[in-house]
Amino acid sequence: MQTIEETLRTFIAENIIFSSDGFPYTDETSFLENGIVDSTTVLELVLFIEQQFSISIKDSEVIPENFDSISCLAKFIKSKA
Amino acid sequence: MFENISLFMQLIYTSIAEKELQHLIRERVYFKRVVVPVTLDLTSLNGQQNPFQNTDYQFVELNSEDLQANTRTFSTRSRYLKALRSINNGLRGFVLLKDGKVISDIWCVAPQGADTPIRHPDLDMLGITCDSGDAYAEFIYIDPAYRGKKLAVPIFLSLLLTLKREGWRRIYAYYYEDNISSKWMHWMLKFEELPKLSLSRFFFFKKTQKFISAKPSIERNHS
Repeated sequence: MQTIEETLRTFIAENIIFSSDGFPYTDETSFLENGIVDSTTVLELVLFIEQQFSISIKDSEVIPENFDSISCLAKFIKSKA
Repeated sequence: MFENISLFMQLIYTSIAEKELQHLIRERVYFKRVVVPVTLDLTSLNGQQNPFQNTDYQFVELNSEDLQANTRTFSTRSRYLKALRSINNGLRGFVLLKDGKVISDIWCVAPQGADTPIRHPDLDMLGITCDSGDAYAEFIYIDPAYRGKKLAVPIFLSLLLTLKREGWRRIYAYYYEDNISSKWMHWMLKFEELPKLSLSRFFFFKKTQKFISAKPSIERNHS
């Protein structure tokens, strides 16, 4: 079974950065600083997380502290579970 | 007044044609929506290149001669009318061109930069006072056919770099907290948040106020 981090890495690699070599960054790499997730794809990411992990995300929870890296996201998802 | 009604009718027509009427109404009728004013020190932009250099896109300023001579091809009549009205109101508009067609327009104003200071209603709404080196970014529109192509941040960055080159020091803008795309775009550009507001709107009538966050994240006087 995939960990939360692995699930996120796979989704971002395949659907957001379209990488054939997996997620080519560390789990701490900033999405904002590196333009990994942009203003459109952040919506896809929110939708995926809600569906994949059966959680509801409020607009006010979409903040850099929760969404700026794989590590931040995994921590946020675990806190909502 | 007639100009506003004409523009509004064109907006309704365009929204129906683009199946975005629901979106149009949602943008004009709401109650206690959270607004986040933001600001950016333009002098902090260092090392960024023109994002559209060596691409098929051109980022250029609009002027009233272009509009009157109809030398710019807008995707809809409502965009053209909005551009005309904005230029007449003293705003500066920049467009992104692809194959000679306008696929995006972005607007700003320097309230203290004109011969006669411009009083922009958004600034009153947001409680922002622009100093002589400050500008305000009003709006960005991207043709639906070009959305999702990662253009919003480069377009906004092109505006910021243009203003910086001209000597402007600071820019203000705002986004709605529930507009995640817009919020993310401002973060990517490193805007800082100012105290949030609550805004209610019924078409042309807006009622602001009530500071949601009491403490500003940065000082407002940047002169």
